[in-house]
Amino acid sequence: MQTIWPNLIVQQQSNTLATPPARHAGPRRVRAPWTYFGYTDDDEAMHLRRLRQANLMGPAGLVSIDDSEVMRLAQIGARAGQGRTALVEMGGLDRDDTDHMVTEAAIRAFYDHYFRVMDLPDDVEHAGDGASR
Amino acid sequence: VTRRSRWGDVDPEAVRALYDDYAHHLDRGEFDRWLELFTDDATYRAVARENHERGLPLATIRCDSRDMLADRIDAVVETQFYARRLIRHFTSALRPAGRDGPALATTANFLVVETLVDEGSQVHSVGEYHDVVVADGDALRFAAKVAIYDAPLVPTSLVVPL
Repeated sequence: MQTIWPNLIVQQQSNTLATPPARHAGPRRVRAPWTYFGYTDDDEAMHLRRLRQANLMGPAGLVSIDDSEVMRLAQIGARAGQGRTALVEMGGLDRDDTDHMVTEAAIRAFYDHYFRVMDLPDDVEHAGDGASR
Repeated sequence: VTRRSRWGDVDPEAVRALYDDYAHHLDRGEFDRWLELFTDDATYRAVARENHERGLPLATIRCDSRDMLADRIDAVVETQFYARRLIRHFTSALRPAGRDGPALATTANFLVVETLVDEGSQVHSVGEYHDVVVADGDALRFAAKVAIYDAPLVPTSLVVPL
């Protein structure tokens, strides 16, 4: 999976190629329109292979169902506190490199950079190292 | 007077029973018995109407044989993580759509209602089946099933086939 700043994701799973962008659709909803593609010079066998391996991805994906389901459960957890703002601090608040994947440091670093590039006000400071939003 | 496509020598009650068994076994998670409703070389697809109408070949679920369908069921039962849910399939407006030798093409509407833990029941999907039913040994079975769902967005995930 390759992410290209700011919001393009290009994904290869076996011979299936797709762009699975996440589009925010309000505080409780994310839309994920999957676009699959191949190449015009794919032969029939490769075309069929890509279509079959598309079973791995998307809303019924043998690989991706777990992702959608876990994110939905996290969403339910985050909105459970009525009238309060929920903040998920996976891996803490910093943006340091780690030797594991159980952290959202990359996402925090993304938004830190995004706010700077977009010249957005960065007036919400949190505890720790002052990670924004 | 426009005449409906004929059922021919196929007993419409037997075809309705096939659809009823399909919903019954799927909704109860009796997947082995559900798989028995397909011929060995049956094809199954769940496809968005958006793609179907444009003639785009991509399906959300694509199985080119009953064995492929069995593999998917194996994943649903054994490996995938998903929130516990109840599913109910409602089928209506079953009609014969044409004959191709011994094979009977059928169409029907489907409605799938999903109930998740701590939530109300909600419409998961609604659409139309375009199927092929054949006599296979002593039973009617699906030789092809295409579930065309109307809404382009699937609510979170499609775990149990349509």
